Amino acid sequence: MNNMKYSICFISFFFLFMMMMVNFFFMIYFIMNDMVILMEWEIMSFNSLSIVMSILLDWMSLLFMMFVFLISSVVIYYSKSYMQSELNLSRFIILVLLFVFSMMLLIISPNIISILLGWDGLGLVSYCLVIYYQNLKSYNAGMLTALSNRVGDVFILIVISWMLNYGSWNYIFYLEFMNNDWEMMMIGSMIIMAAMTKSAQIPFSSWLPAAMAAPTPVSALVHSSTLVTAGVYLLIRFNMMLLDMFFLKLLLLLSGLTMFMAGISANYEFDLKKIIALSTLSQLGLMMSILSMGLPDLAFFHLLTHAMFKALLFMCAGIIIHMMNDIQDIRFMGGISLYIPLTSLCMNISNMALCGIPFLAGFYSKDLILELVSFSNLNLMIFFLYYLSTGLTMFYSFRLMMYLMVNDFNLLSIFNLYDEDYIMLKSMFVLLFMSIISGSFLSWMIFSYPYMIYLPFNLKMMVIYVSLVGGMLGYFISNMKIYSVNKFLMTYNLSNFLCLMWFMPNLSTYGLSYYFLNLGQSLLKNIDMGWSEIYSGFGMMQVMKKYSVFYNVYQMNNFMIYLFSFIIWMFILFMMLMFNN
Amino acid sequence: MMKFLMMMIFMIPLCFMKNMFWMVQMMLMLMMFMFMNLGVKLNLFCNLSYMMSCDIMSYGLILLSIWISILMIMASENLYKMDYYVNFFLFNVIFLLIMLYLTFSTLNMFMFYLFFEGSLIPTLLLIIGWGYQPERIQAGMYLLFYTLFVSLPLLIGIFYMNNEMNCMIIYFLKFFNLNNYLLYISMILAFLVKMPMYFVHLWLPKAHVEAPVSGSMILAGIMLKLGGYGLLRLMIFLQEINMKLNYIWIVISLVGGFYISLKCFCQIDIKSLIAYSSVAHMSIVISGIMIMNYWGFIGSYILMIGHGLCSSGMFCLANISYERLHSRSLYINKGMMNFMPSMSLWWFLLMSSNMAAPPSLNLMGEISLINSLMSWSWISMLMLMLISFFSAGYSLYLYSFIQHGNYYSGIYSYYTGVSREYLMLMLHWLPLNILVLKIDYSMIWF
Amino acid sequence: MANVPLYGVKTHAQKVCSLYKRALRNLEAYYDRRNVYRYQAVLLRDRFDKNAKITDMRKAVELLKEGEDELFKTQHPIPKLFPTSQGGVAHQRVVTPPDWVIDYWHPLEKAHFPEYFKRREQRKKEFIAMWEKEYGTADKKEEKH
Repeated sequence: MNNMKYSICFISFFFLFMMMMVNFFFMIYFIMNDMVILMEWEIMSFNSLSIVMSILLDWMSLLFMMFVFLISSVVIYYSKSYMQSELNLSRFIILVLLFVFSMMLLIISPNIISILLGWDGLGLVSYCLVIYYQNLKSYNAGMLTALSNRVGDVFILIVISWMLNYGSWNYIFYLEFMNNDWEMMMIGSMIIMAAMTKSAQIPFSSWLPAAMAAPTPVSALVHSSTLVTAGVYLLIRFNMMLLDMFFLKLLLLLSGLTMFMAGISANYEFDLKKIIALSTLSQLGLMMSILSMGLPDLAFFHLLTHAMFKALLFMCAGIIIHMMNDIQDIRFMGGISLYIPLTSLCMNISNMALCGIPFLAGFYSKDLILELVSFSNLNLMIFFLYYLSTGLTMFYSFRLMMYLMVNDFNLLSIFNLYDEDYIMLKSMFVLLFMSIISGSFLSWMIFSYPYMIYLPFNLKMMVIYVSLVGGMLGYFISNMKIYSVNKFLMTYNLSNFLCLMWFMPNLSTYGLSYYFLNLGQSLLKNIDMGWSEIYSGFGMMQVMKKYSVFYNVYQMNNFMIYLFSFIIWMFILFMMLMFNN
Repeated sequence: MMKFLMMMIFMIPLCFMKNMFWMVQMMLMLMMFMFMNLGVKLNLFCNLSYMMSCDIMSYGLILLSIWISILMIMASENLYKMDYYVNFFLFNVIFLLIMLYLTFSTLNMFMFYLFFEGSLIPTLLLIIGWGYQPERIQAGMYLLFYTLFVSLPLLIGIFYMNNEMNCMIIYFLKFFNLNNYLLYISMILAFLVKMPMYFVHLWLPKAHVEAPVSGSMILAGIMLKLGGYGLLRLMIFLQEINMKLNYIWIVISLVGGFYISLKCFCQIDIKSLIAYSSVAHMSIVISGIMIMNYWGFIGSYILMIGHGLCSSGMFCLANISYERLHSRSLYINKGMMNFMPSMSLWWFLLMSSNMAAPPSLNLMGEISLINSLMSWSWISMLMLMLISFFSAGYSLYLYSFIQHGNYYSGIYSYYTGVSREYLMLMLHWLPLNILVLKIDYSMIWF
Repeated sequence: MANVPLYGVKTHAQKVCSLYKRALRNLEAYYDRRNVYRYQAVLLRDRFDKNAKITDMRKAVELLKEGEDELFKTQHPIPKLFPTSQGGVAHQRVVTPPDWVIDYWHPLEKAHFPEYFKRREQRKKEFIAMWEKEYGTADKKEEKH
């Protein structure tokens, strides 16, 4: 394990990186020739229905695969150092590799049955990764994650049976053709629900911050860039069908609210990883909402750039947590830019990219999205949700920066901050490079023609305005004067509500499990140990016992009575025989 | 077909010889191999001899019963080590296998009934003879009387049919159509209790909790499938009345499956949790059979085989923990991952198969059952979703409660997994997930 | 059970001290700058000190109850915790299997680390020798049951 060359991390890194290169070249080839390859392997067929394992390779899947390979390779390289003292390093790396594998299966299959292989696999492997640590927190978080994702799995299972109407499960063939079918409406709404669970949209969003109990490399790979975008990816594949559905409008509202809610909660959160998770949630809301406005290629664009800088952000957070002896609370941190300048550099660049500072990765996608939002025909509420969330992104990013880098040094009296962990840093530089250039390089590559945008000056500058206001608020709010009353305490109830993600974690854990567990308990008591028992096994035994005791009493009398009754019975029988004739 | 019967009968003396424990298992494996090469390629009865034959439906279940018997012997190595009436145990297993073999392969309905009931006796002996606690007597009584109570109507129904049609050959049933309410009840109820259906499932958790590992394995693996097999065979001549009355069983099973899944969350005994989970799975099987369409039949067949392998494997795992900690309680079996990291992998694999994760047979079966039930009425979607969701819930609850976290502080001795156990679990899991590649064999039997 | 405060057994003074400490920790969660926190902590101390001289127990108990209520009502939803303390992020994150598990390893597994196991056997023998030296040899009869 000590030898760098042959450790499991290095080998996996090497192969994943090679796969990334291969995918990159294929992607260029496919995008230049506008090629699509669809492969099918028939597993079984009867009644003219066939279950097939299909593989769809086009530039979209290849590009996504390339990004997943890139992030997973650097994350595995990074865990070489992050998980150094771990007893079960091999288990960890194998789980991550399994995760990458199921992600690939999800990306390449356009068939609703074969997509289950990746979809369920993602849920299960991510469950294993979340409960990788042995504490109670990760136990609960893992259960919440797995069960929230299972809701999506169940929806996909039901979609399979709805697809039976069309005689095949290759959904891509039916998306346009069967667009206005009632069955297709059901399929569409269920697919949207499934995607909402994976991408943690509003009713299901409590699992994403909870899943931060996983090791940080997992958060960097799974909970920021790949798993959570699986739902968005699925909807991108399904977008043809969704365009004129009512449910899509609901999705627009819900995802806008998710974006807004996550942006606000991130301002109240103090756990470093949870802040980043909430910002992921807000960006997912952005992707979903732009998708539900009928612009899937923009959602895909933002998905990819977001994957880059968010993975980088998590890796920086990982370094900080690693050096601070597992402290994740940003109230313990401060002034670390003086101690770890290189990591702080990466952190700042990724934060800037997240905020959409011009010419970093996030700028290209986010600015385009927002301009198209102002360009399109929307109501005021959605418009405000978009722009407020953009401002909030700046808000919490600045707050985070202030807390981490600018404020007084606030750590424990003994600490060990160092910036010479080159394994982690090297892996971060790859993503640093990508989070600077990926926006421009993707925007030149994946759009066949540029979007024409025509806006009045103030609307065009709106992004800059809200960002500036957000940044200033972030600075002022996190600056605390000695005589000031805490703003949290001033509006305690409202703050509590916003801080705890609109009480969603409570509602989706206690709120649900309480009734079901109670129902189960009372069923067990009333039916299994009650009525069922009385009316079958136990009750029958009691009845039989009662009667046999009764007959025993009859038999235990004097022998003469016994004989006498025998004679009476014989007499009655005799009489009956006689009178019958 | 006769040759396999003879082979098993002549294995009985082998059981009573000294140190023949593994030899018997090897012979069964040989038989398994021979039976696999039987070449049942048709959807009709083939290999007819002496009122025995097999088509694809019985072929799969006979294979499963031989396979589970092999694994039963493998799982009860402890008996061999302790020399705890090993010879009688082996005899019991072989006797049970003969009964099951005859049940699945016989063509005569009376013979089917005879062996169907006959297989109860060795199971009862397994529970009463090799169980662990004194409560096993009661559990045995429950097992026996629940199934016997409704089997006499079945016998009378079979004789009634003989009287009516002068024929007891199962194959010819498809040419008759008996529209008789009482016959319907008497024919079906025995199998519903055997499956078991919700409300009459009480014997199953009791029997499982008290049975030794081999008893649990055979109970979950094959005995429950006897009911399903009987229903699949006897549904055909009751078609008309089926159309009228089957919805009762479907509704009971769907709602019951959901209720049973909730009850699983209240269990603290590993084995009873697994037993309840198999009731939940069997409830979908019942509704799939009762739906009387193609998808439902193949789905229930596939799910029966998948569940037989999966739950039997889970009982093995429960026993592996039991042999080390001497407790089935979830509060004592904790943090096992720290002691047996490799066994944790098998826990997870079997648990994920139990919640119908791909690519297991369970998933395939569940998909076809959902298809069939949805084509009956799409409102059943609700219950199916709940059952499917909660099956994941209790599987993960079981897995993470046992494997994750800190260990019970009262543990002072332990030993890690041995290769026999790993082999045994692999032999459960591998067919469960590999057979899906050639699933079309199980789809053409009708 | 070590973490559950035995409420009824404590004296009044102990209860007040406990309330004070918890209130301080709660303040720490709100005011994360050290100087701001110190200022607020002094204010808090002042509030406690004002009522320190009260001898009427009925009033004191009432004040304590009010204090507990106020603390409960202003409890920070995300308390500032040390990672390895109860409720912290890294609490019981890694479970170390007990040492005796290594004794149950398979000989083939043990053969991977020959030196360690040689020394381990040696240490065991030394420990038994030490034990016997201190307490005398174990009775052979008692071993059997």
